[in-house]
Amino acid sequence: MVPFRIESGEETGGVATVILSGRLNAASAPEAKGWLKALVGSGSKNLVLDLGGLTFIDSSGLSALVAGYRASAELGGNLKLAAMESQVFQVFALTHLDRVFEIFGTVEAALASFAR
Amino acid sequence: MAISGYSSVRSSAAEARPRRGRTLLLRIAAAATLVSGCVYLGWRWTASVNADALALGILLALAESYGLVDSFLYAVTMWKPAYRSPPPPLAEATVDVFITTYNESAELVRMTAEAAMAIDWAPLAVHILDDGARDEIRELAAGLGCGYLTRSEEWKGRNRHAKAGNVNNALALTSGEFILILDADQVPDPRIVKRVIGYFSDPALAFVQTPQSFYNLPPGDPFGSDAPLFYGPIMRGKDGWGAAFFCGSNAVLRREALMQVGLISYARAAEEAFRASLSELRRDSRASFRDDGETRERKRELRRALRAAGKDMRSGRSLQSVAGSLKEAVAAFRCPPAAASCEGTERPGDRDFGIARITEAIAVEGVSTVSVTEDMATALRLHASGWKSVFHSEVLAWGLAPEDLAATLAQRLRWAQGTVQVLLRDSPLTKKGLRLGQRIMYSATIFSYFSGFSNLVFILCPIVFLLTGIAPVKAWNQTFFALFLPFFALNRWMFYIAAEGLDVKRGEQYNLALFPLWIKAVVGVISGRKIAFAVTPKVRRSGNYLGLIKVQVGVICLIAAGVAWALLGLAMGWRRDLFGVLVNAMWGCYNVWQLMAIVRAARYAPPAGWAPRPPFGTSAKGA
Repeated sequence: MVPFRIESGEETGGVATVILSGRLNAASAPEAKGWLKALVGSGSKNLVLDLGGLTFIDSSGLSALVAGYRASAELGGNLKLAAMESQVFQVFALTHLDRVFEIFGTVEAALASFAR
Repeated sequence: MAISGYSSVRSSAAEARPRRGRTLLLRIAAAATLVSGCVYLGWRWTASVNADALALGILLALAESYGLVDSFLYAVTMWKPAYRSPPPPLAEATVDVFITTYNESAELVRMTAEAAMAIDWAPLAVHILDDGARDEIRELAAGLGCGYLTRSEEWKGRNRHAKAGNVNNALALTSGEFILILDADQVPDPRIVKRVIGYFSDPALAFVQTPQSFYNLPPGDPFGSDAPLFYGPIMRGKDGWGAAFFCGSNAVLRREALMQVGLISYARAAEEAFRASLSELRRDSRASFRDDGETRERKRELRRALRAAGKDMRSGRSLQSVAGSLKEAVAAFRCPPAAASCEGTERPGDRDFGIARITEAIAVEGVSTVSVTEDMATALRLHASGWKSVFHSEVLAWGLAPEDLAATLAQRLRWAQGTVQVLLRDSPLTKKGLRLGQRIMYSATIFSYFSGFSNLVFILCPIVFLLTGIAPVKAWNQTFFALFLPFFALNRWMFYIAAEGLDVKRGEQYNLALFPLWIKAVVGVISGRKIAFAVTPKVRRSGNYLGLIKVQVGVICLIAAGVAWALLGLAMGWRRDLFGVLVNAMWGCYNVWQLMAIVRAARYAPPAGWAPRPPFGTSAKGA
């Protein structure tokens, strides 16, 4: 089983990329949430989450992403989701979060949306 | 063991055996009740309402019709009860125990926490959720080696949502697959997890509810706290329709189910908040004759952007994307390019248009916060999303019932208010995703809280007749009794069978005697009065509580006066309606008998040396 990992990627034009991989579930959700909040708190309020490496996500994992979005929105920033696999997207659609969040096919497209 | 005060909620596995014969008999009684009830009510409406006292006549017919519908809903509830025996425990499952407390004594919390830590399951993590953030509870948790959780920073200055908020806060800080929720006074049996966890081998199961049972029931249960009918036949009936309720404590829940319905509710709330933001912006963009040319132009631009946003939403674009397009237009509207400074022009909603729910402490709420009865509202959300539930009828935790009338009334008022709130804010009548049977089960519970109005009529009618001779029916004659008595008797028979031999007298008495409280709850919630979550006190406060039941005492006096007046009238020859007086005097006396239960409760004092203890738990003194 691939353990959960969350790490910083490149920063492009004031937008930080965060790479998530492995299983984002109830056990790893607190770590993801804490990590995202700390990043936003340190000044990076605009984020793109690269979800391409996630092999599994559950509702607690999704809640952690919502918490990250909330933290950035509170400071007037934005958090965008990119490159999710179909299992991950299914969980999104099941909870109707696809109606709330804009989901980008690639990290580049998400970054470009900030420049618009 | 010679401890008195135990509930009569049935607990042995043998009690849960299917009883096909009883169910069949109940169905016969129910069908007969409904047929006779329809015949009687049909006659009542068409041929017997007293035209000379039309208002009273119609009120009584309405109240009786309410009673028939209530009986119908009761019969449906009992139609196909579920009798369960637990599957073998799951091989592995991580379980968090949440002990919710606000102001209960450290001694009480200790008893529950020690028993929770003795639960026979691993891996198990016990957490005390202290909404009072008290040092003594923190120390207690540290001493016992269990978790201690209080509200995080996010809650400062935001709506706390009482117990629902306390549990949601803990959900965000823990990670076990399953959660056993216990009120501070509910001392668990060490077997509680093992007995119910096996049900979760069904991946669609959201929760298992076990009965609430008390170890401090005062002799004779003066406050009507014991609920063997609810935590027995009624819950088995609801379970049979796939609608076992979550009752707030003594239940094991699947975290994934809670979080999933939390996300669905979040998505819906985000959309509602976004639409509300758009409406507000639309109002801001309305032209006014005071506008100068530049303002007019800015408003026009904003209206254009809002129209585009509306169109984008209809075409299925995500809220985040629509908000992104709108953000610039709103910023330009708030702060025109020519402005010297933009400070202070931004409105609270401009950052996220409500989507991120930054007004709430946490965006994703596993436990519903729409009602002060968060348990019912949460179960409703779960059922509407297709999750299943189970009622396991074995008593696996013992708690405290209120020990004075004030606490009893506060608790019942909250239940009634919360239930009516669910009807108004997340109605099971219209909520998408519920099956018909589930809709009926929720409606039956909500409907029962409207009984205050019909009971008021049942109380008033005999008083009016005894005092004035005005009757709601044309005549208390043979036809009346020929049609009424069979319905009445069959109805009683049906309730008798459904009660499975349990003593439900006190519950019936309270149902009538609490009529002012039920009316207050319904009227209060519908008129939009703000409702606070009242924590039920776990310690008896001594006193005489007759002041709380002035209405009931007044009614008893009126009935007594009515009987005396009518008898005097008969004796003096002012009135000759002997039969009518007899019937109404009996009716009035029946009402007095029901009302006296609450009068006795108001004057109740515990017997000397009253110190009940739970049947298990490690530190129970003297156990």
